[in-house]
Amino acid sequence: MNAKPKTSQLSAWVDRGVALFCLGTLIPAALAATDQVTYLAPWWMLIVGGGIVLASIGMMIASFAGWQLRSFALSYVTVVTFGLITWSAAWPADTVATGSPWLWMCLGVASICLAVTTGTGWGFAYAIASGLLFAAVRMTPSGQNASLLGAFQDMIVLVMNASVVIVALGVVSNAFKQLDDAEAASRKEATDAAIEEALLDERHRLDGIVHDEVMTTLVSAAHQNNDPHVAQQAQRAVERLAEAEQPTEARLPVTGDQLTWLVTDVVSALVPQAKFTSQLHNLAVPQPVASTLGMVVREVALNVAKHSGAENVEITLTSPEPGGVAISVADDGVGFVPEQVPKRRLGLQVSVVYRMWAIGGKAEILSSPGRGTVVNLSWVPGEQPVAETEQQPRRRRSGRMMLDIPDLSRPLLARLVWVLVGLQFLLGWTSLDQVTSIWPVFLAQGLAAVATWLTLRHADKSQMGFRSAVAVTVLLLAVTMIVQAVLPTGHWPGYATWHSNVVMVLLVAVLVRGREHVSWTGVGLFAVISAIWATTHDMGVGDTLRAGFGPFSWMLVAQLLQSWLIDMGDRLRASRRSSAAANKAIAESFSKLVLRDVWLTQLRAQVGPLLNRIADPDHELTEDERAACLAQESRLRDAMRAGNLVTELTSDAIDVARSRGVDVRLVDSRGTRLPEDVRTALTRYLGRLLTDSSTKRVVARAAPEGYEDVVTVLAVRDDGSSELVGLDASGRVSTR
Amino acid sequence: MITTAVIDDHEAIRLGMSAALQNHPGHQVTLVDGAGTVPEFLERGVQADVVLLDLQLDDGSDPLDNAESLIDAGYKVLVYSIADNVRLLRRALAGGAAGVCRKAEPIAVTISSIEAVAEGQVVISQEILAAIEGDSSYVAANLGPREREVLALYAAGFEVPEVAGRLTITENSVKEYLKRIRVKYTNVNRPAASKLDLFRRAIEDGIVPPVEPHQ
Repeated sequence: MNAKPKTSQLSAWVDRGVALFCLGTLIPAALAATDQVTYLAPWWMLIVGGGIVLASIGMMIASFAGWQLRSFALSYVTVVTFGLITWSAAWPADTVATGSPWLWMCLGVASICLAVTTGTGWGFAYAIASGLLFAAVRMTPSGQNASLLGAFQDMIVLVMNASVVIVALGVVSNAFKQLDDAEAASRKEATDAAIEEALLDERHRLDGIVHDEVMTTLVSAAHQNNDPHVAQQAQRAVERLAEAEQPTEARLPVTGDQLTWLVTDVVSALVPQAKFTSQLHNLAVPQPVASTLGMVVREVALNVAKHSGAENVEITLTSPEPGGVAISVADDGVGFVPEQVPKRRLGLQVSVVYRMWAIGGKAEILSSPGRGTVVNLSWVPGEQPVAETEQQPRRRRSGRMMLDIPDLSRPLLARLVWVLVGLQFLLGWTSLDQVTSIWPVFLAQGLAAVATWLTLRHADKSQMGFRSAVAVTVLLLAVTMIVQAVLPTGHWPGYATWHSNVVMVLLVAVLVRGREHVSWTGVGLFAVISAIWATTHDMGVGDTLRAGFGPFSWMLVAQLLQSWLIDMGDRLRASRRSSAAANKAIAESFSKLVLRDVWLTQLRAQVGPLLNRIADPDHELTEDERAACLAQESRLRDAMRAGNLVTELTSDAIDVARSRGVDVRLVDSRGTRLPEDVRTALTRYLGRLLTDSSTKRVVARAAPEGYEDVVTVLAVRDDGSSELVGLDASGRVSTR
Repeated sequence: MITTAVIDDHEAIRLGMSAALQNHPGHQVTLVDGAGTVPEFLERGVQADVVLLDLQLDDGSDPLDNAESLIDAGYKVLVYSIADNVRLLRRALAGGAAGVCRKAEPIAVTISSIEAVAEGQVVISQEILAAIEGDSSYVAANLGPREREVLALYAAGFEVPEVAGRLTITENSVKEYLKRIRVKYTNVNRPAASKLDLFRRAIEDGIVPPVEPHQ
């Protein structure tokens, strides 16, 4: 079947991303850990260090093998949490650490793991809880005896970083979910439209044959005495019908939607009161199976219509096992004792049980008098399925994939940017003891606020103005230089470098808003300015890199993410195009099947024998046969002109009534399909009227749309009295 | 003496008409010609009072154009069809066809219709008025309340006397109403191929109930 991008595909990528993130974090964590490993207890290193490495590798393998990530992710979280709680215990009591515990890098990753596998809420909660715990550890000797302020700053950064990634994942996953939904909906619409179009084409073809050949032949034969021209005309009609019945080369499998359509079409022509439930998705059955199912269901429906007298009929289509179909037809009619049906009345036995057996399926008839009847039909693909059934999604994901982020619209994202910038301001205020002068910090924050406002202005438009982008960049560089002017020399000033995160956030926003060149230029200039500052202020190489390239690496991540999204979009469009073409082919093939196996079979059963007799030049038509010609012509005419008003059973009743001399006329001034309730009520009402021996003339008319009565039925009795009834849209009958 | 001609793409129908007229004595109608298309017929310049016109010809021509060009050439037009496709019937009426006659009807009915049309009458039938009634935008824009009432009852199947009885007016005024509706329809020169028409057309042409998504 056609390749459809699914949420499951996306979540596989998210899984891989998370696994990669875990594995990637191992490298800086290992670097940070080199100083601390010698102090940590061996048992702790074995359990926590080993556990983290194992869980990370496990996640990587699982994400590529298509397994559930959950158990590995949860072990990662457990190990990290355990490590954090026992950190102080594993640290020698008499030593003060020289740096922040290396485990902090894994805390953010753990929140992300939790968010992906158990839900965003858990992820956020874990980020906050682990942040608090981490702050507590930081204040112990094993955590470098940090001040309350320092611990608080670390906590904010930890929570913030984790939140950004969780939200970003949520945005991506949500966007794809919406895309998937929209895709599924439009695919279904396209399928329906393609089927309808192809069916209309086929129907026009058949209509042409019926009108031009069959009906013309019947009328001519009824009026003429064995004219050779009529026999020729009949011969041509037979040939044209046979031509239409030729199987076509393309015999594509029938999809679940199409099978539902077929069953609905076949049944509602016979049993208008039937209600349908279908759960056939991701299914492809071979054409012969579909057409047999259609014929068998038709047989069952015919039995329901003729013998059951049921009020309610329910048809359920399901796929209990992969690739299989189960159709159940349940009615609340009179029922019967299956064993007591005379063997000679082969009806259900042959037409249902045998036919199902012939395609390798099963039929089960459950009935008892007064309890209604249930017919269960089932078919499963054999060892060699004729059609490739669509691969079932590998495993249903039990995890809630970010579903609890309802709609991350632009306003929300804009607010998030404000929150992030605000947090940096907060970090800046908590580091005021580090700077040489306070007021430039506030000036810089004022400018940064203006830059934020500029970045988010008109966020409802996708691309931001070039001038705004340049202005934002200039402001950010100004902020950078102002902040750097008051930073101390000789040691890393901690969170007093809050500005670099603001630069990062805003330039990523500029990038996302379509001004790539401006934002990359900005980030480049920022790197240069920061590098100059670092070298002139006696910073080491590490600090220089840290100052200059933090925003740079985040930009890189954002850029890659964006290209990936664009690439996915392209692939999606391509698959949409190819599935549209596939749709069309499937629809055409299906409509040929319907034409051949449903409509033509009915038509041939109806007029075939008569046409053959007319076509036989040696056969002289009897009076009865002439009458039959006219009766058949009327029946075809009813179907063509007022198919809206009759079911096949009504047509039978009309045939009988007409042969008794009743004048039955059907008029359709409406054109569009009647509501099901009206069809059901009309079938019942006409049935009663036509079997009443005092009825002399019946005119049933579908009124034009907009009339209060959807259908009117005029009945004239042999005593000359007449009654006009109207059926309203809910099928209620009232005398006019 | 009334002369008539059949325009139908089926030879069997043309021959059948000639045989039927011969086998049914006691009328004044003579079949003088038959043709497969309207241009073919017009080319011959045959003298005929009434032309029986099939709605669907092999050349795919439009009944409106066919009826108009026949009337322009001085013929009176009676639609002679199989299944009375409502859309095509409306077009023929708009083109000025005087009536409609079904091929399946007994020949006597056809003969009396030909005679009526030859005398310059418009043939009123439930078929025609139901086709007009189904053109709801026309009805809404052009018919008065009384006309609509008469039309609805007649299209529902009542005969003229019954319509008269229900509305307590004379049979003659019912007939007048029906004729007026019928003639007005041609004068307004209906069916423009509106979007709705095109949509309906697909359904009207169908042989089994309209295809709609089963939801």
